Amino acid sequence: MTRDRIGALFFLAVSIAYGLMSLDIRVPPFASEGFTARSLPLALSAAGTLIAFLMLVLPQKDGPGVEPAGRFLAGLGGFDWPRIAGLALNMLAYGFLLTRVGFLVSTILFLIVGYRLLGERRWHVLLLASVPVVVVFWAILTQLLDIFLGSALGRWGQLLAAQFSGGA
Amino acid sequence: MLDGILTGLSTALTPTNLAMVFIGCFAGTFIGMLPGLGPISAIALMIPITYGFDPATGMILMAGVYYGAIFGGSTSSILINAPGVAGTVATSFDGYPMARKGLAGKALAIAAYASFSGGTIAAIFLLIAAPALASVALSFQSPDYFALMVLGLTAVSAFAGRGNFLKAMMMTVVGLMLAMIGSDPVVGMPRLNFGRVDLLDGISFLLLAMATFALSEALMTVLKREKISDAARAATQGRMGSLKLSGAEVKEMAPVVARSSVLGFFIGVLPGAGATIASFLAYGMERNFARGAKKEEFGKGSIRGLAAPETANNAAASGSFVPLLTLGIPGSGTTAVMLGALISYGVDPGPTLFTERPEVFWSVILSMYFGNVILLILNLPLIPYIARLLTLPSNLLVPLVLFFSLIGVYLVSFNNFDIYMMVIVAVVAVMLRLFDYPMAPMILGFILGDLMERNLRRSITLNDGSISFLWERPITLTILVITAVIVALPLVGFFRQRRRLAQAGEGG
Repeated sequence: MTRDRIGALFFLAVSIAYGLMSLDIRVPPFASEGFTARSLPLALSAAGTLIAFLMLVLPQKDGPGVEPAGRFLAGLGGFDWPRIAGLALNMLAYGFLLTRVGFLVSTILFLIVGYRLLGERRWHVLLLASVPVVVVFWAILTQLLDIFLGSALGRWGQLLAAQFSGGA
Repeated sequence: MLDGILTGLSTALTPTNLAMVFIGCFAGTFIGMLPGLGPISAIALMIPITYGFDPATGMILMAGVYYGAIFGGSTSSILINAPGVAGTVATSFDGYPMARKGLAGKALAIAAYASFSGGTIAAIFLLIAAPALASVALSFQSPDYFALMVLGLTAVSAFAGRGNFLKAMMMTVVGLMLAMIGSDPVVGMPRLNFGRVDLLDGISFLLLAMATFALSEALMTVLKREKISDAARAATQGRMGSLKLSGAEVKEMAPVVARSSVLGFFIGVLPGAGATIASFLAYGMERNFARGAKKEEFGKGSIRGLAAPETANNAAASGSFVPLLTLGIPGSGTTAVMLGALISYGVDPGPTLFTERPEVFWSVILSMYFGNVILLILNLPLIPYIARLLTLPSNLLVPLVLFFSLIGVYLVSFNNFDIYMMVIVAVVAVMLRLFDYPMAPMILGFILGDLMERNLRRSITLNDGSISFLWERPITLTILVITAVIVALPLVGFFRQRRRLAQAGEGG
């Protein structure tokens, strides 16, 4: 098994799964014959399956693609995966927090965590490269370009503010 | 046509649009210089900003970014041997050795003059070719468009490089598969949306472009621990040398520029072949033309070796606008992203653009020329200073690129789901890049998927449910025959090589 054959197997599975999903596409009774919403997806699934099959069976040319799978996968281990995982989680957290704590707080947090993940430890750099950037960006968008960015406090911030104003 | 040119001129010369050319060139140069971020990422990052603009202004900004990114890529190729753009890889062959000899200033000047000349000559060709092709294309009907899209998608794969044909075809099919997600374009029934309302309108092209280019390219630099700051610092603190060229050098460059402009433009017009192929072909052509000592100089700091790819890649960038503006069919990943932007502005690209929106058509063409002038008079003297931006540490740059990509998509939909999806797509794109799968064919397939299905279904409906139009219409048949030849060529090459190897085996 070589590197390119792993890729081919992956796309073979994807193409077959896509074809099976395409069979579930509902077609209105009046369009049951001829070209329907299902036709092109099924044709694409067939095309993908054929190409993946050809990639699997055709002899391979010399190059990185013929690297044995074991060596290729071992080589992948040398990459900086923990950082990638950290950045991906940071982006997912940003998506989650954006509407909940508002643009300003969530973006400043996102940038500070991102910088730290990539090795920046100096707090003055972390703050200077995030707070002014975010505030200026927010001001340009909301004040200059009139683009709505949602509530500055977010849903949680608004709830908190309501609690305080209610309690006062 | 003269009316159109004057309308375009008056649109392109408004202060706002001139400012857009300026900003586009500057931003493009900066982004293009950053290794890892190419013109597609640069343009994709600009799209959210241009949503509020009128289509002409938006396209002018993006055209400026495109040129700027190619020029920026040349700068990093010459100064630190790290091409930010595939189209400027050939530039580094002779540009970097020149910089190592202390002639960085001269190399940058040659690159700027060659780019300017290539862009200018190609802009003149574009001025003639685009309206002519648009007039012919007005007679095209749905079956012809369907065939043209099949041709475009196939050609992108055919030009993907040795051994990559099937991979590029696979990615094209994946792009088409993703384009099917959402709703059926004719009856509006939900299709392949996993029952999610967020996917009823399909996947946004901006989301896909940002995730597969800007986000995944930024993540790749982290994954491979690419650190360019040290090399950049050394290069920018070193001696730049004079920017002046001697009369003999200009005389040596002139025929190279003329030949490479023509070659670059026509390569750019071909669907699928873009600035990268044009630059390599021009470099190879000039090396073959050179004789004696001049040939020996190639790879060691040859003026011809630097001028040829620089001219050709800029000329090809102009050429790639021909199929985009006249047929509405992009010839490269970069113009595919521009097509997506045009569609989102509510502009119908194609031959009718020439007749119905002449201000967009002509102002984009003319602004390319202005872009070249700005790159020459503004960027060249400023390059030593702009190059210092390369020394920005990547641990600050990467999170900013991630932020601009995410917020750019979020600002269009205001849907958190899009951010989650971008992360998933970007991680998959990183994996696919590690397996050497090209991303541009996927974007092309995705953008053309909907148009292709609409044209195919319209053709079948108009032809009473039959597909006989594929061989009954001469234009459609001709285009499909060309497509078949393009598919067959790599296969013929493959079987020939196999036979040769078998014969060699028998002989040995």
